[in-house]
Amino acid sequence: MGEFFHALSDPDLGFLRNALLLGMIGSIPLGAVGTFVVARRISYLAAAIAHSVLGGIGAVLYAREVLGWAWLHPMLGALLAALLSAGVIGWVSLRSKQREDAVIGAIWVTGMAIGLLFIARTPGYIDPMAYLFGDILLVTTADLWIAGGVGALVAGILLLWHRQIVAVCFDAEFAVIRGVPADGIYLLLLLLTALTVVTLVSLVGIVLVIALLTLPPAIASLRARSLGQMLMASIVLTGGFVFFGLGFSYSLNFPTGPSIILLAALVYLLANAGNRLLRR
Amino acid sequence: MSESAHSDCGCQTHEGEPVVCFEGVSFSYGNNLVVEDADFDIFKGESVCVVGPNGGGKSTLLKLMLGLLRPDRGQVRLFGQSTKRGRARVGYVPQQIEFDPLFPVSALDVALMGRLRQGSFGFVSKADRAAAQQALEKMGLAGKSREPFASLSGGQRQAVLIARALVAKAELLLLDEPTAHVDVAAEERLMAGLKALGSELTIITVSHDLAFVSRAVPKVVCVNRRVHVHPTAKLTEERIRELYGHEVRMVQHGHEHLDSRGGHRHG
Repeated sequence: MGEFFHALSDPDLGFLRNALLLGMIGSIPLGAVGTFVVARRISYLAAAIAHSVLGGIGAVLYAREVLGWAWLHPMLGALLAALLSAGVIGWVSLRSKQREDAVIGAIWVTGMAIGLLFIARTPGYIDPMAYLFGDILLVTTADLWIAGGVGALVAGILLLWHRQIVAVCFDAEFAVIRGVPADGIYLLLLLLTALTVVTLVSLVGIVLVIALLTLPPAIASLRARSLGQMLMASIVLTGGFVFFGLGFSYSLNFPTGPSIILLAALVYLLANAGNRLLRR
Repeated sequence: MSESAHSDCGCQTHEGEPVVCFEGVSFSYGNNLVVEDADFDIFKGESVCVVGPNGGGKSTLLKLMLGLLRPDRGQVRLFGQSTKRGRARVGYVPQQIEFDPLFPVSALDVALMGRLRQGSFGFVSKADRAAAQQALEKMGLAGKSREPFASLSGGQRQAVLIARALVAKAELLLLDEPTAHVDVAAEERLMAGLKALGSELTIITVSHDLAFVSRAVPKVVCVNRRVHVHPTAKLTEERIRELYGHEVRMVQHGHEHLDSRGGHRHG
């Protein structure tokens, strides 16, 4: 890890600082929204939203090369695709009482298929792997701005409506009777999830980001006595996984995304085992 | 709705506007008619039990009252208003809630949910906290307010849910099978607690326990698709057989208790 600390101050390795900064900023919305995703048990929906993001990225890459829209950042396409699929998934999950899982699965793969087709038709070589599993070299200052904006938005919304969101997650029927628009709050949660998963897509990728959204809150929930504690612990854990994952990946010359996720998964397993031992 | 329209809907021995008014209400799930042509009023300060076989439409009737379901025909009014407006004055205690045991909310957090209002924000005022604390104390949970909801016993969770309904400053309390998960002693305490809440409060309780009904309330709403309202005294064995469609067995549990087995299911 010593090398890693040294590298962080190296003027030639700005990408490393950017990646770390992105992870630290992104850990705020990820830990906060992840807490509600885990508590409301909608990880599956979050995964579908994250995967469908490839459609937006592919479309933007195509537009940049073929239509000459070089000003368009792939992350903007990702944001739009995420919001669109969150809207559709929310609508399906609230309206259709049957086959919800099948429809959500379909949105998941349709988004990916659209992305892959666009990438195939885009001139020049683009490796979809970079978007699926993250590439530290993809991190730009635009990502930092997006993550900062999403973080501020998530924090603001949670400050204003956290009681309503908690009430809907705990007992939606009662919340409705108390005049809380439960369907609207549920959609809001999905839209926040969509914005949140996009923030770290460039660092850990579409496929892996979902683990970083759900593992820290799952670990935190083992010991947290309040939702506030769970949320703060999730943010700290997410930041920690990014920091140490990045450090290991740099020191051992491993790809960054998988290093971060593997670290999170290992801690999750150990925390579960430790928790069981303590309960005996 | 005009005052004159109200006088048409059923019981006319009471003064003033009914708290709950069903006017020719029918409701079906798909092709399955669950409530047929329900026409009754419940007035301020009344204690009423809703009885009937499983799947007979008891919970559906509560959901219609709360505006969670919309009638196919007829209309339901709460305090002379639409159910959507009137339900702000209702405290609802569900039978049990499905919740994630890892969802870390305390008893106080749950009770505070009763203080949510339309258009309110996420901040908890001192008054909210005091009201929630007081409701928990009233339900015998003074020392448990910081405990995780999941770690409480079934009876204690029920008490928290009742506290949550009470802090809403409810004028109408709807309880769905409040004695389903508690023992006899807890049931007695619950009924004593409810009676102590005062004569202003209207209480509607769904119950399976006919012995409980005959002790607890003077008026029953019998639901088996059709809805009949009459004094509890008229709930004779013959009437019960008619309602449940079969014999209702007496079971001794140390206290008198009528137990229903089988019965029809309508979804």
